[in-house]
Amino acid sequence: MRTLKRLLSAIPSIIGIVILTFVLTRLLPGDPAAYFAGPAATPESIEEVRTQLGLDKSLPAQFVDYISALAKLDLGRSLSSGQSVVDDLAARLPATLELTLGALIVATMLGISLGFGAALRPGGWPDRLCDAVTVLGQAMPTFFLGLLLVFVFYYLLGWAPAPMGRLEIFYSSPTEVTGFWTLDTLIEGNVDAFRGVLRQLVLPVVTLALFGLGPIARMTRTALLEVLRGDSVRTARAFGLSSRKVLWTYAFLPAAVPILNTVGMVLSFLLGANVLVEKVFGWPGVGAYAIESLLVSDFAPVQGFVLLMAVMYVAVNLGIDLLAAAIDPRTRVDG
Amino acid sequence: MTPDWTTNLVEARDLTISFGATAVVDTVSLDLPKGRITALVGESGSGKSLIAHSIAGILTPAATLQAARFGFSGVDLSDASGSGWRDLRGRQIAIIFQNPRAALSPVRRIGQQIGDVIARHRGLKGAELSRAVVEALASVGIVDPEARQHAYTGELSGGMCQRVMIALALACNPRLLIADEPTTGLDNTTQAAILDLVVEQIRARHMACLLITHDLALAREYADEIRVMHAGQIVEEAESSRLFSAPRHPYTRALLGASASQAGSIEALEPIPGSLPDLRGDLPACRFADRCARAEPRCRIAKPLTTGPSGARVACWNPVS
Repeated sequence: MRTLKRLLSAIPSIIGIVILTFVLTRLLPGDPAAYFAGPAATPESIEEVRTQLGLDKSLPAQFVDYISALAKLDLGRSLSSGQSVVDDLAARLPATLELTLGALIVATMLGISLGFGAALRPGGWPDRLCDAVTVLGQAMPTFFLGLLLVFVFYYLLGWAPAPMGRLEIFYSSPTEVTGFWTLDTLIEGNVDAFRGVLRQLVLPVVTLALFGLGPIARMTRTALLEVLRGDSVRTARAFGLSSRKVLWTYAFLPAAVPILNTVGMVLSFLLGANVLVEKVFGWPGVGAYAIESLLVSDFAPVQGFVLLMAVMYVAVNLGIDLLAAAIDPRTRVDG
Repeated sequence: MTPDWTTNLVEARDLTISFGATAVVDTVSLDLPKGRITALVGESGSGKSLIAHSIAGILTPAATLQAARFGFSGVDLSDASGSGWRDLRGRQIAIIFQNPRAALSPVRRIGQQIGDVIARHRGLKGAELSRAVVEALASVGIVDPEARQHAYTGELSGGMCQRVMIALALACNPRLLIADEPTTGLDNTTQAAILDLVVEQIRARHMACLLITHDLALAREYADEIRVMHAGQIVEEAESSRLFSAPRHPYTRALLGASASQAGSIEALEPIPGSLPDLRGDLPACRFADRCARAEPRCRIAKPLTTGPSGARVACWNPVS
């Protein structure tokens, strides 16, 4: 019942997103009809294209067209690639997800470990490292950090492969089953290609992870310290429970929800930060696709991308809330 | 003197607990006799909770503890990391706190929390463990323990949380129960019910109990022995019945005069002049000297010895007779 309520509460956000993406893309500068008609077009042919695209209609009429197409999962056609936007996005989404989730996993694992270390010994080296990483991650734009890593590890040291996509050209791409090439290469049993995929992933993942690490580490530290200094941990210690039990069940569990919320927030950030990082690393994901389309006033892909991202934001938040309610009874209060 | 473990469960001699150079508990000697309820009474900040925590083995690491002798039935308590402790915490020494809702974990079902302790000390598993959990809850008067064991503290009243805390404390049949202000924050009816329950269980199980309270009336009603604390020093040690009829230390007398249950009317209440001294400053040898009408010059120079027959001992150069 409570779960259903939370699910339903996502609907208004989705409606808002649909309206917003429509309005936003109409506000963008540039005339798609002029672009699509080509540089040699006459005013008449531009108008003709405009009519073809339905861009001569009033805004409400265009909105109705947009909604009815959306209901059929039709996000229109990319003017530059000629493909349907849904197909384009679907083909590129796994690359983006592989990168984002990889970065999220690294950031979460390192962040929680670092936060743990910092909370157990405030003022010790993990605590100071925690501060340093936070400042670094917040102060430096991700694309710049990405460029810096490429410069140092590819150009200067030669440790990393060229920042050109998901796999170097002398490997054959795996047959797509999941779309996650780390998994697909393993399914094929091609360990060499798997290593190749990992090598390509390292720098962009590190770039994004450094960005997400700080907030997770800081929140783990804060939340854990508060519980550790609290009465319930004192009780668990007074009753002689093992230190592992005290740490995980009585200290970490009550701190899990704020940490989880931060992980959700970081995931949302990463989805946004992806756009530029993909461009830096030549990563064939949805972010790079959106930027290329934006530069040539190609409405439909941008609209589709924004919609996709927004729906993912909502889905992430929904998932986090449901997970939090499963962990912590205090979050299950009916509001 | 050698320790007497046949009568006493806990013996502390010259126990000092300090934060840096500040002795918050100052050379206190305290015995907890078997089968008796000993109340440690004093204003907030007098150091009584620190003594409770040091016996329970949960003294904050920021504090340092020194003692000529500090033992539980032959086990040294002065080293909280010592191996002898493993069998004491939660098994032989249990503690209940004020504010039980905060003292229990909000994200673990109460039955699981009790189960954690029973599994740790009694080694029970599976069906035996769940039966023991239900028994523990039933023994403290919780109705329908089968269903209630699945509740979280957020779903229970304050009084019910304290019952759960008591069930947790008694689950492994400890020999000593420390009750640290167990009823602060509960309403009056619940207070009485909780204390009646605690005392009934203590008597039935022949346990010793250290009751920490600032409430004289409560100590009088429930305790056999009373230790009065002021600013980190124990000033009077007496049997409960004697203390209230013939208090000997000026501080005890002042406390009684300031307590509502002793005074006939609000006008008859006599406030104690001054407040607890700042322990960081220079202190007179008897820390009550600056607030005391009976103080003499030597009270500031020499610490009064604890004298008098057992059951009526007082640390004062000029006691009320």
